[in-house]
Amino acid sequence: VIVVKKIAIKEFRGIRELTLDLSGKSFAICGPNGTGKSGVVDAIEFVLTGNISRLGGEGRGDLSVVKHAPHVDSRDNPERAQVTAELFIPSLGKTATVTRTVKQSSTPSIQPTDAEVISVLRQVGEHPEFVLSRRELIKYVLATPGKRAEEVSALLHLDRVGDVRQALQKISNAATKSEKVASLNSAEAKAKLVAALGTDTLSIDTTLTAANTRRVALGLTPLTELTESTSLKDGVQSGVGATAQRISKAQAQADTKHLRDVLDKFSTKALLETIASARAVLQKLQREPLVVDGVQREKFINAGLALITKDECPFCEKPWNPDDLRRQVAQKVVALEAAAKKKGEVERQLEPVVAVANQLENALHVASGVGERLPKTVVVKAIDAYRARAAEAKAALEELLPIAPALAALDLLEARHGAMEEDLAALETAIVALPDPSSADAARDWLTVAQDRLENYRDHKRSEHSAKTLADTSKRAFDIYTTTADGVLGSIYTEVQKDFATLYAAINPDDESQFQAKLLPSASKLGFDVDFYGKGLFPPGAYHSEGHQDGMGLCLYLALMRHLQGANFLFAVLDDVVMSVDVGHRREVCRVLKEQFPNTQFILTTHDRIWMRHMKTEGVIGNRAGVFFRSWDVDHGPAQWEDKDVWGEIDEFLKQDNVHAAAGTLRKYLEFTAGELCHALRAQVEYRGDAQYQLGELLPSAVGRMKELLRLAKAVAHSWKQDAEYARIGEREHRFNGAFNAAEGDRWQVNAAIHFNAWDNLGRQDFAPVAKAMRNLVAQFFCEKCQGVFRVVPEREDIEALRCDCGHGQLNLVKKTT
Amino acid sequence: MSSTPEAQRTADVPAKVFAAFLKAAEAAGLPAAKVAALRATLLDHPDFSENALRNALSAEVSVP
Repeated sequence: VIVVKKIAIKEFRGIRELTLDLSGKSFAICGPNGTGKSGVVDAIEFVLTGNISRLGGEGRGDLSVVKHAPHVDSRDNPERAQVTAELFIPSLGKTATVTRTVKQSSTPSIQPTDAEVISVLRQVGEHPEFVLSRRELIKYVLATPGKRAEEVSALLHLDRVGDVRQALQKISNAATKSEKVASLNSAEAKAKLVAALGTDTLSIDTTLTAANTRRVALGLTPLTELTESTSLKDGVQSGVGATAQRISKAQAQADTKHLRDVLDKFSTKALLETIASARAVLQKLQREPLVVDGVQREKFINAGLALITKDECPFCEKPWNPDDLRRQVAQKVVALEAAAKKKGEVERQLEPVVAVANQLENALHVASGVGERLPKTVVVKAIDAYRARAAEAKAALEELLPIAPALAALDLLEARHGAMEEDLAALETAIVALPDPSSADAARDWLTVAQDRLENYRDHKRSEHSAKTLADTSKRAFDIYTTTADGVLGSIYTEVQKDFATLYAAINPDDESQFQAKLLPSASKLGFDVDFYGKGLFPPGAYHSEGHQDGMGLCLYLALMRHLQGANFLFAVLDDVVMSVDVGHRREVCRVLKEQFPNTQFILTTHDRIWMRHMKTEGVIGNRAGVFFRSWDVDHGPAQWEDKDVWGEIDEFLKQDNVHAAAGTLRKYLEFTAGELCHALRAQVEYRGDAQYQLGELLPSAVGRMKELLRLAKAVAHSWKQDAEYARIGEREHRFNGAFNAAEGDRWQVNAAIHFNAWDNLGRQDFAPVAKAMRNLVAQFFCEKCQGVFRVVPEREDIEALRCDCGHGQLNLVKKTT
Repeated sequence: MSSTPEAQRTADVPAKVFAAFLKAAEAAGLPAAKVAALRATLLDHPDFSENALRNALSAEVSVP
């Protein structure tokens, strides 16, 4: 989406002030550990997203951008910590400048204030995955399937897909539960209606027959149909007749009989067996404390998930980004998936007992109401008490945990309750003592009660229908979603795994050109198996070396990014990502980056100079597209190996009469530069296995090689009869030899190590000319016009030319053949 | 070269999943009113909360 042209960093992390001109091209930052490379990475991430991922994540709870992004000396002045990036947006053909301060990290200043530009930058801000660090590589490769799924999900922004899946599942589960409750209530309303009708079954015919018997007794027209709006008591005049009683005797008898019928169920073998089976299930669960703990946690976490409405944890009130918190908690729910499954199984086995507990509670409730409405109230305290306990029992069974109350609930349901039975008997006696109503009153009472219960039944039936519809729709939606999401993600994974294998084979062409890989998605997990030299598919950590695993991490990341952003994959920061990859394969990594991602600007950091050279040699970065950080200190931040810095620094030390520091800086700079010159000129240096070359081993070789090349260039010009060129090279050779002599180069051969180390012992007046001579000598290796280093081309095989970046100082090194 | 087409693609994998889901839901005969409500909450005015999705699934359907 964007490329970075320039970045300016002030008072940020370990950096005081630093500007890097990236020119929108790939760029490398090289330096020993602790010289500020990652500070640049942090700055890039910060200016584009407002965040620094290194300051977040597991185990970094006390770190934050606002407190720890500013340089330590500016920690109380976060407005001084700022990063400015000049960007180019290829899709718009526009350049934009973003400035972000730590103080106002969420409100960057963007120029131009163009809606399209702002929209693109917002999109970039939502994709912090453009930064990949070495520690993150491992999360794609060696992580557990669950963890890998999380990381890949985060990269592909699949959290939303997961959120919706989870929400639909919860809705479906809740709707199924509601449907069961509605169904129980509907069955209960039906039982009450059947009790009122005095029939064995409920049907339109039986209802009409029973109602018409009463209607005829009252001289009312018989009903011919029973629709949703039919009233059984249509035509019955309210207040007419001798209905002095507040309750219908027949109805009261029907209701108490219904309670008896429910109580009798508890003596049946079938129900006793159901209860015994439920008890066994609960006792088994009780013997599995880990499962119980999991079920408990799952309930707790799910409850917490629903409570996340603001930017703090509902449990401990710690501030959180709500999306991150929700994701974190949701991951825990996924981890407790097995417990949730077990809980579902137990709940299903308890369902018949819960249903009968519900019937019992309702029947007791109705009977209690009968007692209150009798002309001479019958106190039914034991029925009320038992009803309360039945309600508690039902709740305990529905809650499932803790297990002890659920087991106690089963005991309650099984036991006979003398006091309650006595209340019920007293109630039945009182009802029997009620005067029998006239047949007209009886008919009127019957129609009134039957109509009430019919309406109640209709209400519950409608609720049941709605609940069933929602349950069906929710389940279908969830099933369709799961299938569709799995299909879409499956095709993405197939494409990514293919691309991954292609990339990985490309960085290991010598021994893994037939490499294959398999991403194995399953619910909330992502397995990852890779081919091991044709011996089968195994997890990456099983047999492959650490270097190969790093390579896999990089390739998987690149494949995912390419899939995610396609042609818009224009920018990525690779922070020290392939340190374990061996030298041979690094060259291949460079080729992959250059050839497979020609339009992507990579910002690469490394502490390995050889790696940096590979990047240049292979053309991943241009010859001058990189910086070397030589040192870092808290007061100044990273110091680069830049001429202007070094010579200025040496002059400053000399002004302070600090020859020791000036000599140390010059020696380190020359060691660094001489190494680069030897590489550029293809100079011969006595090989050291530890690559710890000293100045006395490098600088003479570089100088000797340059002399040799200048001599050769003259001979070549002579062979081509290019007199003017011959003379020009001669002048150059003369200048070079003069600089060499001024630097007392002839004395180096006496004892190079002692000679350079002796600088420390010089006085200021003696060392200043040495520094000046060295500066002049070093300058001879660089083009005066483009300031680029002269280098031999090609890098291998027969030499052809000595050239710089601009071509101004190019010398032909191929003689005319005769 | 890679097997991945270099054509412009959407970086929004979730949107791809949601669009496929809505298409499949419509084809499976989920009531149009509910599909429309789901489209609104998943794509038009993104709100992936449980409440928003429940409301969408409860969207009124005209019963003949």
